[in-house]
Amino acid sequence: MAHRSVIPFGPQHPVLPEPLHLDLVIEDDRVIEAIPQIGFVHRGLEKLTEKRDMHQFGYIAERICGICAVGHSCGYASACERMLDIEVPGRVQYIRTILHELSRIHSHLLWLGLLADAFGFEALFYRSWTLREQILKIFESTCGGRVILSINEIGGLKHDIEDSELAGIVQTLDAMRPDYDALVHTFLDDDSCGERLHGVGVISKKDALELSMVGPFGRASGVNYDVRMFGDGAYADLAAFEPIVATDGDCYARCQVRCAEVTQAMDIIKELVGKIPHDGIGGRTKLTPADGARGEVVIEQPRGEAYYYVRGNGTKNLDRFRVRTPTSQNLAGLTHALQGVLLANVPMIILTIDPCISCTER
Amino acid sequence: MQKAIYTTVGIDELLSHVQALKGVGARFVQMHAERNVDDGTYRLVYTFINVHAAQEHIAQDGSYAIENLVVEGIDRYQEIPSISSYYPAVFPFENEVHDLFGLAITDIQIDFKGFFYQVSTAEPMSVITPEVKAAREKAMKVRAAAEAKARKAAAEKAAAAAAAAGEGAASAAAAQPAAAAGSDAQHDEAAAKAALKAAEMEAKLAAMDPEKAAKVRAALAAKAVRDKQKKEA
Repeated sequence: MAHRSVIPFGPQHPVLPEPLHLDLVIEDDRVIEAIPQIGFVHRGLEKLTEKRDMHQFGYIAERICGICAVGHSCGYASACERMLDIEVPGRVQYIRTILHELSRIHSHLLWLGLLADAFGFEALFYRSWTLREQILKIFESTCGGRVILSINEIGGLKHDIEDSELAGIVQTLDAMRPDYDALVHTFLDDDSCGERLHGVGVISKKDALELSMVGPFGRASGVNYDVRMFGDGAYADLAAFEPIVATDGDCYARCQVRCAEVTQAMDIIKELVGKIPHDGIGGRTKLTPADGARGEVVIEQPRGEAYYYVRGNGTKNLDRFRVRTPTSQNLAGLTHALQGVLLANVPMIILTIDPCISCTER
Repeated sequence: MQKAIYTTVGIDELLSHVQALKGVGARFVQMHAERNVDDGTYRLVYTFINVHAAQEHIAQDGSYAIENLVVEGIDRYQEIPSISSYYPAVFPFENEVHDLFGLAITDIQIDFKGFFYQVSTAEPMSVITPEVKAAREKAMKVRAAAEAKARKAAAEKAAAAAAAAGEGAASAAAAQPAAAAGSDAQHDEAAAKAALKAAEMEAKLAAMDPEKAAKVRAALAAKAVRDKQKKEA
């Protein structure tokens, strides 16, 4: 029988921008079992609802993660609005969706850059992040912040985004498109990229469903599930929406799905800008939730389905705030994907799951 | 449009409900715990989405449901069966509930036995801070005051209606002896005034600190006894 040993992977590791620990049980350079551990930087944000009222907490919810900030802000505001039975104007839903899709583009471009960096393709990393910079500039010009936008509040938006600015967003996306297509061509068709990604960390559709995997990680294994297909909010007005699905279930398929989702997000933004209504931007509500009132919502974050839950207790503070982020749901899939792989492929597999520890350590 | 369905189940029925949801192909979304500030018990919420059923409902009426199983009234030392044998993705959340709320979940597939989170305060989410208690009591007082105000308004309305009915009865019964009619009207008016006074006092008491309110109630009861004794004397 081959010798078994345990290799601690993380919490500090070059491939991990955030602390995640894995105990890798290896046998002849092959991983037999992987046990994940988080909790190194748990911030207890859910407990903070006791000290911050539900309006102040919107700023905290937005700061759960720097990459998914817009999604967290939208998810929290929507859950509170559902709890208070508030219907926001159509323009609010459209602007939230446009910003959320821009956030998806910047998140995927960030991930593509990290992927290129992980297999040592520095020029590709540079090009990915150069494109991402243009999305951050859109955020800065329309909302004033590059990452934390603070545009949402319970009941509406703090400020409008003018039609001329929205047209400018579409122009920027159109201008990005040729560069982005060239980038995708390199990621998907270049041999040096493909050799590191093809056939690595394969998860079958059956396993992906069994492990309740979400986001591009699940869709790369053939799971046809994307919350946007339910048509909530502005997504209901899209002419058509089909989740991007691949079937190979390997690292290449995960890259393929994310690349296609960027193009899909650009198309969604263009369509919504063309249809945006002019019915106001709502405003901060003065309502207080009733004791026991609940609101919950699921949205599709860049990394997958995220769940937000709020419960009122008759005061301005919430009784409970709960957010379940995509990475915490994908931890079971992560352990499964690592079983039986070569030790050298572990960093690549972890990266293609796109773990967000900030979200998980809320 | 998302809707939420909450189904309350007992701990002993939890696994059979989860098995049924798994059987119809429902996706596991999340589980979390909540603490009831009033009685100190805990509540577990398990969330699922049946994607196939959701798509069918969307095609019919544009809405779909998030299904929640709710286990109420959980005692801190009560054993809760893990659902990780049906949905392995639940293991981080069950470990979280154990570490942050101190609830005992048994047979978790990957059980960290209390070492999932490294927190400086043990079971931090089970702690009820004085601020939370104070805010909760204040909200209860405000609610009680609003209810008392509503009761007072209702009493005033009833008194006005009674007075109007008394006048009507007096004019209709003009043939009756004037002294008797006058006595009835005076009695109704006195009763309405007493009801109004009682409602006002109840509203004041509801807005008071509970300890102070109890003292005032005791003093009022003693005064009522003294008045009765005086009348009898």
